[in-house]
Amino acid sequence: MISIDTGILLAILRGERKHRQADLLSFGAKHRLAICDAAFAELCTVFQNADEAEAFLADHHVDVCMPSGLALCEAGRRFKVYLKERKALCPGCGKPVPYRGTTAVDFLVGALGLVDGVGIMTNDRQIRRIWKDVKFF
Amino acid sequence: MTTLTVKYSMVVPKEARKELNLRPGMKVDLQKNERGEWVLVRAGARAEKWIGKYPSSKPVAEEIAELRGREASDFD
Repeated sequence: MISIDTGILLAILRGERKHRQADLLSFGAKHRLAICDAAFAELCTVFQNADEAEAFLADHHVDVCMPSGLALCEAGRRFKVYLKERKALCPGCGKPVPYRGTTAVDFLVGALGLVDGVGIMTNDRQIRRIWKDVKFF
Repeated sequence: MTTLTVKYSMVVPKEARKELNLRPGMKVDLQKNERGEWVLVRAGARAEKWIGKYPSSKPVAEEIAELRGREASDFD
């Protein structure tokens, strides 16, 4: 299975990088394609309703997939390392700015591709930096 | 008319090959049309209609960066 990131699918809908669709369909002929639930939520911001979003995924042979427990653990573990190494400082006082979000979507996309699948298709450079041990398509 | 083999392979008639623009090795899909009949189509034919369906003046990189609270330069 290949984990598909939001940007790849969004580019098709926006008419950017039209070759992406051909790449996606050709990978889909050899591998199962999946988008994690969090990335699907990002993608849904474009559509009028959930039925349309699901039709779009069906036409591209992409399944919505919840990462396995093992994949979620790996996402959490790497996210913790990332937060430790992250150097976001307040421009005013120079003190570190605490992160207030939850485990970022890019970590879930990465974990789905690494643990549950064989690789990732993404336009996110941070995913390529953090998930160096994954195959990128 | 054509006969299915034991493995459900079939010879696509020349006329259909031309009309569907099929070449050997190409993937095809069977799908239901609006009348509920099964028809043979080129794989990906259904996907083509989605290209540029929701255009935006904002580049995809910028859009994803906003959704993820990051910089557009992080994306291709």
